[in-house]
Amino acid sequence: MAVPSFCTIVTGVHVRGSCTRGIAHLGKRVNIHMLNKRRTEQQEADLERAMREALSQTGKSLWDLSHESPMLVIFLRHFG
Amino acid sequence: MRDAAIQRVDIQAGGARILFVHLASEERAKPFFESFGMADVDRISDPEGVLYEAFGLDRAGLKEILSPSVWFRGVQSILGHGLGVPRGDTLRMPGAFIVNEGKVAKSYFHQTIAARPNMKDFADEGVKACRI
Repeated sequence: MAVPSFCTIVTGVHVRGSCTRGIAHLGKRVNIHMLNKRRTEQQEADLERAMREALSQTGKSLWDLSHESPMLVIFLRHFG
Repeated sequence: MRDAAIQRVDIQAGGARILFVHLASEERAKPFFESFGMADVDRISDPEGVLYEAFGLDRAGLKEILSPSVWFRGVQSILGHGLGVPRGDTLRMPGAFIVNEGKVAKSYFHQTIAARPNMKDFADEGVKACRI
């Protein structure tokens, strides 16, 4: 079983079998960078999917709209 | 919302098209946008917060809620708009992004829910970044 390591704590990503050295990983910047990169790629994929699936009131996706012109996307808080 | 409505013409003149993402249903959002004269502006209903999550907008924590500026802004808002029943996830953090050709060109993450960035300046900088 993998011990939660510095890499896991910092990135929030658990990669099975890759982090078994615990605190000894403190100096392994390369590992941390790789984990961050992997996480970013996953986030990018999620973002693209979300933009393709999110439709405006006119039925156009954010993905399509952003290919027509730069979009200022403002996320509001609740109404009321 | 009011800030963007006031700056709308200038923002669009700078080359950015405005789109709002909100947590209410389209049915409830329509009269809200109409009241600001923004009925024709693009908007996306995201009650589950899927887009919010995808753009990295988390739910507010203690730091974002307990700040004095948040309470001051709350009082200001009540005095200006009255007290209403909140609709949607009241802890969801707002944010602003410039998205071009499917990529995020510029991001603004609110440090607290009371922050009021200048949307015109943000949009101009974002559009400029897209053209480089």
